[in-house]
Amino acid sequence: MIRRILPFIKKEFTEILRDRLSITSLLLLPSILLFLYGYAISLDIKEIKISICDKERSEFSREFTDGLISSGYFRITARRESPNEIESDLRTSKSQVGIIFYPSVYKNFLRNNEPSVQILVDGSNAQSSQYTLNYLVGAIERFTQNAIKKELIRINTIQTPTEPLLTERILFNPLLKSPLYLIPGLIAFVIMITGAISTTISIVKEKENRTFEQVILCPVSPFTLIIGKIIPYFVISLVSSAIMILLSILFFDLPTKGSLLFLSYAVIIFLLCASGFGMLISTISSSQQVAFTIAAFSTLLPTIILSGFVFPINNMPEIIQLITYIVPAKYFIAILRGILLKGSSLSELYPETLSLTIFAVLIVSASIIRIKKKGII
Amino acid sequence: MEIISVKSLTKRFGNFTAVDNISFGLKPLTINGFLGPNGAGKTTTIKMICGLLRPDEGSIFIENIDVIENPEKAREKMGYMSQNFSLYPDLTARENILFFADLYKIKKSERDNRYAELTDELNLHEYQNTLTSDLPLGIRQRVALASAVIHHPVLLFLDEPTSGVDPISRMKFFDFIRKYINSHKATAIVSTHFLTEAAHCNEIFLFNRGKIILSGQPAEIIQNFRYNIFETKTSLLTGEIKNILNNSEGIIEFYIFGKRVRIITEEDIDIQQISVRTGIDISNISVVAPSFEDVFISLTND
Repeated sequence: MIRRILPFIKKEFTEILRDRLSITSLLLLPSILLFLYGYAISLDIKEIKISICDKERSEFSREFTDGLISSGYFRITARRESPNEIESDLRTSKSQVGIIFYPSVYKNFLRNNEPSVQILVDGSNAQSSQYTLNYLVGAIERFTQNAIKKELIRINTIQTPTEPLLTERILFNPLLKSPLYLIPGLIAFVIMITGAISTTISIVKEKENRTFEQVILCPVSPFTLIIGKIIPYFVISLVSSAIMILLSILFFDLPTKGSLLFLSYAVIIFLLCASGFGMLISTISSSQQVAFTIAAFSTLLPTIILSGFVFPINNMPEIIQLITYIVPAKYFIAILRGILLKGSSLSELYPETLSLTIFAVLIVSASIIRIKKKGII
Repeated sequence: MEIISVKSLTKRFGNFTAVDNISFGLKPLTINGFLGPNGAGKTTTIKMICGLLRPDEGSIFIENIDVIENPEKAREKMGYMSQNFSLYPDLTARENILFFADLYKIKKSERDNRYAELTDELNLHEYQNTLTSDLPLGIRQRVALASAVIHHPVLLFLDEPTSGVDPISRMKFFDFIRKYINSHKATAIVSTHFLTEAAHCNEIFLFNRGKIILSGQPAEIIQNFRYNIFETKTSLLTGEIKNILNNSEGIIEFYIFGKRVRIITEEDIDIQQISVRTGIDISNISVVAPSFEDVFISLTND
């Protein structure tokens, strides 16, 4: 068997290495993406532009806005006289958030009436408006607590100083850097590209060029052929993932607290999932175009959208959250974040690891059954 | 003793019957030509014999091996060259040929000897290290042939091996096949839509619409041809020629190439009668020997 696989591996590597563009993109593109995410595209929200219309003009409204600015996330870009102007600022993107203080807001607040502060957020970018809203809600909660505390002190109900009502400490990614959070997702993304898409395309390319017909007539089983095709991409994915982890350690202070062995296991199992998908797709596709479309929709998109890579799963509608259970990348990313950022062990991540392993077994078995039943051409 | 025996072979693709209940046997040490137009069922038949396609009905035996039940065992005896000269475009000619040798686990020293012999015989020296995607079609055909025979198969399947190749290369190709058959005690099946290539074969099988409409030795087939063939030069327009010939009795079929018209008639019609019936001057008509095109056209005339 090994003597039959070796010529395939040798041939496949010769072809890959000769095609400079594809080898460069397989090895370097992930690292370029890493830097792009790391330096250029940040999902962190900074300097959110605010327009303010302050009809209250009291200590309350000043403290509220000062509190927002001191958080470092917000910057006042305009002070307006009327609420209409605030809306116009949002429409023309002069600001992303509008705050309107109506008269007697503080009095209303203390009398337990409806306080009259209106906050308007530009929702045209759902992702950033969600983050903005989260920051705002946090800032408002902190402000409210302080205001209550001050009022209680003023009416002598409690003595100063008091313990803060809420303490925050962020573990594992204390500076809340997006790159650290995104690296596991990027690795998943790269493995899907090389493991699933490149494998599928290279198998279907042989179908299109009819070289499979030639090869299948040799005394070689379809599995020898497929394994011979998968191994080179497997190796490339491993190298590419290793480069990304190394670069993340060097440039983004990735902590790498967990076990290297566990990390390798997770990467290999996820690669098996990706290759299994690749094999399955190649059995149903007759052209590279079809294969790419199916692979992109069934593997790449879920890996980006439904895995928690970029968009938090908790924020998704319930039905979509249910769908994420059948996206192996979800488990893989959770495992990688655990290992790389928190130093979690297998015992802490066993549900995810078990799910991923079951997925790998299911997908690879399904593709083997499919090839046995239908052949590969 | 037949080396290949095919019985009641049928293959359908949806409503289309590509191969329709055909049976034949092939003798060893022969070149067998599968002739016919594109879509006649030649390639589908070859693919079924190779085990690349599963037939809907019928049986295929290679010596005593049931190809449908045991295709992998049958394949050890086969060499196959597809109509696309399927080679890896990013590999050189040498890498392509050696890759196929390695799949058959040929020992390195033996493999290198065979490779040297083949590059000599097929004149491939100067192209060894060129990527096959950069090679002209004729050379790619030779590289594909070398890849198909490096493991010395006793059954050689050549699917449209000469399409797009110049006449001299086609002749050399058949010379190589003949030598190979004799030196390796092999049998070849060659499918082609060039009916003139029938002359290179020991046996021919004329395919049309999924059926074998005629088979036998080429000389025998021509001898048994019952019709007369005439050729005439004309400056008339195609429409006018068609008008005259369609209205003349005893004409089985005619076809126009350039300024010449070839007319197939019943065997009792002679040159004078054809002149009278068509109004063409007798000095402008000549009697010609039938070719395989004539045979094929007369057989497929509806």
